[in-house]
Amino acid sequence: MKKKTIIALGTLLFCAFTGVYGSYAYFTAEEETVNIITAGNLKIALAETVVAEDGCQLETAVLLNEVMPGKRISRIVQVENTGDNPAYVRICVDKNISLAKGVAGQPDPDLVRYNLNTEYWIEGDDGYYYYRASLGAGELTEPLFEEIMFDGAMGNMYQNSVVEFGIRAQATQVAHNGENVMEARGWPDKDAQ
Amino acid sequence: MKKRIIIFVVAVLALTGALTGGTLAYFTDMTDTSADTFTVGKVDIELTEGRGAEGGSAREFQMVPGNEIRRDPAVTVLKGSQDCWLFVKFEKTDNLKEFIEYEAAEGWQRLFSEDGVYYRLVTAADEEKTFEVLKDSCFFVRADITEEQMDEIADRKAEVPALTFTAYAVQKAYMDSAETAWSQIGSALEP
Repeated sequence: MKKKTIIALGTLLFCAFTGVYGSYAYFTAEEETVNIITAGNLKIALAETVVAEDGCQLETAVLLNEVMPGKRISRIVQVENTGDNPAYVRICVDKNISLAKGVAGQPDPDLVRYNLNTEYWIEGDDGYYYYRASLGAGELTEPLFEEIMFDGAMGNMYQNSVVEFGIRAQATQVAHNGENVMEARGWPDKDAQ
Repeated sequence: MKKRIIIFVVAVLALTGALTGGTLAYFTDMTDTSADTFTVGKVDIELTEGRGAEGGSAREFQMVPGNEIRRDPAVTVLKGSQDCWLFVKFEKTDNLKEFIEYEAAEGWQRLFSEDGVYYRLVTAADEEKTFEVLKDSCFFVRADITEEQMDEIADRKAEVPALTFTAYAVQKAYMDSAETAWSQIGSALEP
């Protein structure tokens, strides 16, 4: 009898321990946060407009015929930051005059000029025009120029000639990239596609 | 253990060095090239001399007092030309008025700043435009010419009367008057 009591008591004690250890748990909760890290972007767009004779600002037509010496043409060139991050901006302007077929002579590209806005743009030694300030997301630069002028000194050699302007803008990030635009690095190569 | 720790540290340092030194790049962007093209206009003319005496050169005429001499010099503004000031200059020998009378054709106006120059304004058109220079396409030999005057010319004792036409054109754009336009011709002709 005594032996059965001991066994029963031992079993009871064992069950009690098992119960305590088996069901001993903390209140917990589980929550998950997901951190998504995306790379930023840098995106710009060239904006060319003209001021029509009625004073309205319009998108440009890219071909203008029969310009005469002395003519001043409205052409407003700006860059817009269409990305999410501030950018440093620069522009290159390539100019070329092709004389009419059969006309001999060396055209002078300085006879076709534009009114450079030096208050906001710096002409670098590399031929680029650098925007002095950084350009925030959604912002538009001040115009690089607003007029193209055909000098009255363009003589008969230029009759039926073709004048071409090639304008291209580039941008590089502002973050961790120098104190100003002239110190910025990482500009795209001019000939890159 | 110590050896394992050292190897681990060296591996971390190596990886850090590779990341820092080899892959530094900036975000950039570049637009396509915007191409603007301008074609320069033109002003182009042609002067035709017209008829001459049969059997002779196109510009030699025999004077018979009282006769009219048919001559139809004309200036053509060629197709594709822009608005322009058109000029014709009559250059004559000093004795021409003793022998010949003529008038500029209708539509020409005298340029007062220059003797013998007439002008008109021509607007651009898809077709060429031709303008006669002489009124009625002729000039007249004066009826009061004397035989003595004729003999002097025949004997080469007097200058042979001559009349020369020269045509010019200047763009109308930025030339607010014929005088302003004519001044451009002067500077263009300077050596």
